Amino acid sequence: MIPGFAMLVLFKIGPVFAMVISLQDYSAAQGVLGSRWVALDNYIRVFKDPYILTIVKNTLILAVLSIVVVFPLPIIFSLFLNEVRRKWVHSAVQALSFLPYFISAAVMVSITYTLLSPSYGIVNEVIVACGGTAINFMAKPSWFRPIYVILEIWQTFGYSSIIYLASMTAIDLEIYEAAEVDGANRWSKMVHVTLPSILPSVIVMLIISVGNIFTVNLDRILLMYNPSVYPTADVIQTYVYRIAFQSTGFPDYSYGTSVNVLKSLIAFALVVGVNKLAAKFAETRLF
Amino acid sequence: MKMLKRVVMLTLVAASVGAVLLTGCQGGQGAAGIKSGKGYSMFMRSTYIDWIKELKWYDEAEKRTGIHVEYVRGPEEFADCYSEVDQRIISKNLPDAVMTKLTQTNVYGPQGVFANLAPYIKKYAPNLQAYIDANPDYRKLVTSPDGAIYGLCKETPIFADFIGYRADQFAKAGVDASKIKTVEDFTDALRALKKHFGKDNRNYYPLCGRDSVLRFAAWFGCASSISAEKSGGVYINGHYKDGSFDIMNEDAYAMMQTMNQWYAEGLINPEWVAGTTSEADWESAMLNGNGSVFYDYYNRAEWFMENGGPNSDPDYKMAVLDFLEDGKGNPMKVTTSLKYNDEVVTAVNAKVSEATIKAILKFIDYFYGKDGIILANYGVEGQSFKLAADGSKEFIVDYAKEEAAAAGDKRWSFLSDRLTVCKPVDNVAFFKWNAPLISEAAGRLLVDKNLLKSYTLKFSEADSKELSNLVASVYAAETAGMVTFINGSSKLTPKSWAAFQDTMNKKGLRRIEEIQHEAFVTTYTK
Repeated sequence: MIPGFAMLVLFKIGPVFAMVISLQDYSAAQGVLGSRWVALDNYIRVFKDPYILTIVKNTLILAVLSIVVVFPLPIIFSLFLNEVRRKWVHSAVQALSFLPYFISAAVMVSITYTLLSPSYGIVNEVIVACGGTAINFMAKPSWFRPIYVILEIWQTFGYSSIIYLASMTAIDLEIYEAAEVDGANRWSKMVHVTLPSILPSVIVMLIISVGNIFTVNLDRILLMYNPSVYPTADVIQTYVYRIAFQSTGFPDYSYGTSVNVLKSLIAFALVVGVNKLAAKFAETRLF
Repeated sequence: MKMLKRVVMLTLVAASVGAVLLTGCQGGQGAAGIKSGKGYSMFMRSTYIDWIKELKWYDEAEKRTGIHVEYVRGPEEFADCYSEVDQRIISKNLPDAVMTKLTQTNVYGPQGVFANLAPYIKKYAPNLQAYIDANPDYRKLVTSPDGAIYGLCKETPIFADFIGYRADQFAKAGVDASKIKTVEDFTDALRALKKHFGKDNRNYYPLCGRDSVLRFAAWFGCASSISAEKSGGVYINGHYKDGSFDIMNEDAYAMMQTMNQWYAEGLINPEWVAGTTSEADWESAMLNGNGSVFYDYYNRAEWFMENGGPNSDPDYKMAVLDFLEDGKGNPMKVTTSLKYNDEVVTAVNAKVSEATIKAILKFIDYFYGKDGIILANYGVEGQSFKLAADGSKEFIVDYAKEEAAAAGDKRWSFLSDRLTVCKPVDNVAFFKWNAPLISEAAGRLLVDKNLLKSYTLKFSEADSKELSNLVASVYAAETAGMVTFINGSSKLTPKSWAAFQDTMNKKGLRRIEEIQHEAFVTTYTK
């Protein structure tokens, strides 16, 4: 417990206090103690920033798509996989679906570029062979979000489904037997026994997902980033990254931090809200 | 009581772990092992360090001065280097000297991170002092309002991008390069190439390139600019040359029309326009015949000759086109590199001893003296150059052979566009040290009538921050908007263009121009 507590203090709780630089005109030379205090100036600037609405909108759309499209898929997948009776098929499918989780964002985006290239990508070869015109998918703002979401599904659904499959193993077999006695078929058992039994895990995962709602995959976005897709791809993280780490002049760490603090506060409020809703409607909660 | 003991124990353990970790972070990067006054440590971009280690003249300089520099490797990307400087400042882990940028020295210098070199230059570096006195623009740039000098900018050769083209493909398509004078002629040449090579190859696009496609503004007279009267477009480092454009300039509309035409007719690589190609994609297009023309770094035409061109096609031949003119025969001046690069600045840790400052300045000062200038630009007489009858210096080592040496091998090389030591540049020597193809082109093209002058601007801390934040949103929005006009996803009309300009001004373009103009006036006219 002691090492765990120390890690928690040093790497999780401690860094939170560094957020104080959002109330300062922070200078690396003067440090947190020596930098000038500017009260809420940086936060006021965030609300006055004409670009902030665009990036918040882009971040929210990506986040909502991730929740609405990405979140249910592992549940559905694991429900069906749980019905597979041949053990080796079950294990093979599970392993294959889990594999992309270990592929780095760079490799994944590189594969995507190769598959979708308008010059030599297999997808466009098929389109052209069918009489269509090659599409530069990676350069279409309208395609950015679907591709991002597809990659998110590809990478994470195997991992998430393992959590649900693990929950399913804990379901009492007698419940299934009772359902069978009552005449339930496989579909009914899946819907009326398995799904309700894993609901607490689903709720926990949903709350965690909502907590990460603004935490889009920065690596993936930066790798998919190009001037053509800026209108849909520019999100809070890319903006903060440009201000703090790709600065053309002097980096404004304080402003970048204040944008991030606001982001975290909204995410925290959402987590509390979802937790309350879960308690009210599903009679389960995370905290 | 038991609980209290537990809490105390936990706190002590956490504190111990923290102390151990922090100690680990403090790993000294100073000039350990270097005798005081005989050397120093310097943080620098890793690519530069690799290059320095290959240079024969650099070894000779250390031998002559008796000063050894222990380099501390930084990241490859410039922005990451500056971030690491910040991290090193926070963790109090700064080597004796660092490669940094002017905005950092201007802010951190007065805050006590970097040493004020002004009195030491006077005392220990007479050649450097003479250079500063003889170059008032340089003096203004590196000197703070209180007279302190916290960093020394690197001098860079003045060069522009060249229009490289496949001369063999031009000949096969019946295009006479000497007849290409204007943008219209250039477009016609692209059409002829497309007709000839594109008929059987759907991946052939005559005009291709790397990085931003928005690099042709100077051809249309709408590059970003700065003067005592006004500032147009984003005019800070990274945007003087390649990414330079001024959407408020009345000629920018014509540029958009032409580029849209290039795109619609398949004359320009659409993936390049979109920003989805890599440098390797461009290189392979130029090598495998999927592209014929580019506007890129001055020596790139030669690079293709030396890196597989003639192997991929026995007829392969690169050449460099003249810069374009307007309809009246006036040259369309092109954007150029900065003489004083504010993103490659040498600063000295304020905590080092005077002996170390003396060693640093003594080493740098050597390159501002007569012998040092000859050494860094021509090497050693009898080994890398000889004196001609008229007193001029001629290289006696072969450029192609030396530059083809394997990575890490020692060689003679005088590519002063790279940082080695903060030193003056001999432009004549720089272009002499090139293959005949580039030397000839440089002599023909890099003359005053063809070149726009670039200015390094100096900003206050507040302005620098405001500018950075504005550029972070405005430049991306400008780029994205212009790309949509080029690829036709936004219809280009005078009305839509005016609306775009208006949106950019509202986002902060006008404010960017105000800040830049103020900086120009402060830096160069007061």
